[in-house]
Amino acid sequence: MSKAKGRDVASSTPGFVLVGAALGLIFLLLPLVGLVRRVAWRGLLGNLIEGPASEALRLSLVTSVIATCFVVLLGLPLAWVLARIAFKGRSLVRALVMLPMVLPPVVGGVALLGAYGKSNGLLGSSLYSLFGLQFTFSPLGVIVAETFVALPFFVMAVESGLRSIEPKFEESAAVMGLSSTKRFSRVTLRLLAPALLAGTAVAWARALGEFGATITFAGNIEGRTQTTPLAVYLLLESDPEAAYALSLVLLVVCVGVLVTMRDRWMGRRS
Amino acid sequence: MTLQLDGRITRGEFARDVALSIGNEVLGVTGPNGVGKTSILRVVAGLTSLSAGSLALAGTVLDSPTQDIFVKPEYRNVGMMFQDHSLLPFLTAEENIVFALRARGVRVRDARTIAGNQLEAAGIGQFRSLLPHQLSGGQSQRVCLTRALVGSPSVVLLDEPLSALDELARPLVRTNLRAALLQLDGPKIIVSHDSADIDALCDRVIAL
Repeated sequence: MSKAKGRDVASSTPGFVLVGAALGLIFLLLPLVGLVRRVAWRGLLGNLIEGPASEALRLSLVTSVIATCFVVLLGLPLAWVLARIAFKGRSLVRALVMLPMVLPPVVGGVALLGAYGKSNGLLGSSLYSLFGLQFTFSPLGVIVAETFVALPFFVMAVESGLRSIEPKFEESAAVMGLSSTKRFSRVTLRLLAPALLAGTAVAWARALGEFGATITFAGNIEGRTQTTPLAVYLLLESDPEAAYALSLVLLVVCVGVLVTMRDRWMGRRS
Repeated sequence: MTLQLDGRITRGEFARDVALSIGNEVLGVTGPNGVGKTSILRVVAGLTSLSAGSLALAGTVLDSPTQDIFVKPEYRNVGMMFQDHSLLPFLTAEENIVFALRARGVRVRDARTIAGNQLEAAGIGQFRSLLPHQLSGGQSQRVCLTRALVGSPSVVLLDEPLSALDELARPLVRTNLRAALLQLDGPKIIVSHDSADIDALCDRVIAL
């Protein structure tokens, strides 16, 4: 066959595989086209900067950024321990850390109520009586819910990043005379930068899109706990144009995150 | 300054007793693969601890499991060249040398001057602003070698220092390295498979 120019015949792809792949791709793309088609481009800006939509965007931006900070602060040490310290029960700890990733977010929200709820929470009741800290129905609860669901994504990316660093770089830095703290900041962190960036981006995207745990644990109060995904869900009834506008924003952000991580997840490696 | 090593090195399944006394000289270590040559360097550098016995430099114990003494690598003042090149990938050749000097407490400006001079002296000044992945195996090895010798280390450890160099470049690098080693006081250990390198560089040889 003249088509198979210099290719190995054994590796040629059967036709039905190509058809299946095409169907799969269409299945994934069609909803995106449907979403973009429904966006009212004319009033787009107005839909975003007015009313509940703008409140939701502002709240989402603030809470997801703060949640991402917590994710990095808690996730980096966790990833380090999982990657670098051999201890009994490490697989169990890793499984527990990864659990929120597969757990239904609603269940996560119920679990958060059990821990940080104002009246019956394991820790929440004392936090409320001692410091007046209330997570339910407050932006604080949104941050907790977002941190809870986003943390595993960051830990997973950073742990694998730490594992892929060859020991020779930190070892040679040690022999040169750098203390463990300086090795961490001047060598490990530098080598880890791509994994840190990817982990932060995906954790932020996850926090931004959080729905189930937030509505269950923090509630759905406009301006206080109604984040963008919650607003989309509600506005779909009352103001579909605003709902589609907000969805478009979330879609664009997620595409941006994918672009940030293309080197890691889309097969391009330097 | 004498380095005294009399102990047991264990790495996984592998265990070996080693007794060495090295003065102000260049000791060559040869032997087949897997016999523990690199492990000796790692023990002296403090990257692996002894499982028994002791290691001392100029009378100061650096490692002794029975006395519960272990001096961390960052406090040993060792210049080490790893077999698989370990230049930091995000720094240029020159910055790698500066990094090593800064780690030993040399001031930035002095470190830059020394790094430039040393790279020139080693004949690789023209590669100073290249990143490690832009260097050939031989060039990268010469930068590693330069880095191991800067900052007046008390002990020098070189693991297959010339293995990546082509036959043309070797004689000159050998001569330069021998001269550089003679300028440094203290024990120096070179691990190599190449008998010509060992003959040209070392005062004494042991075969494991």
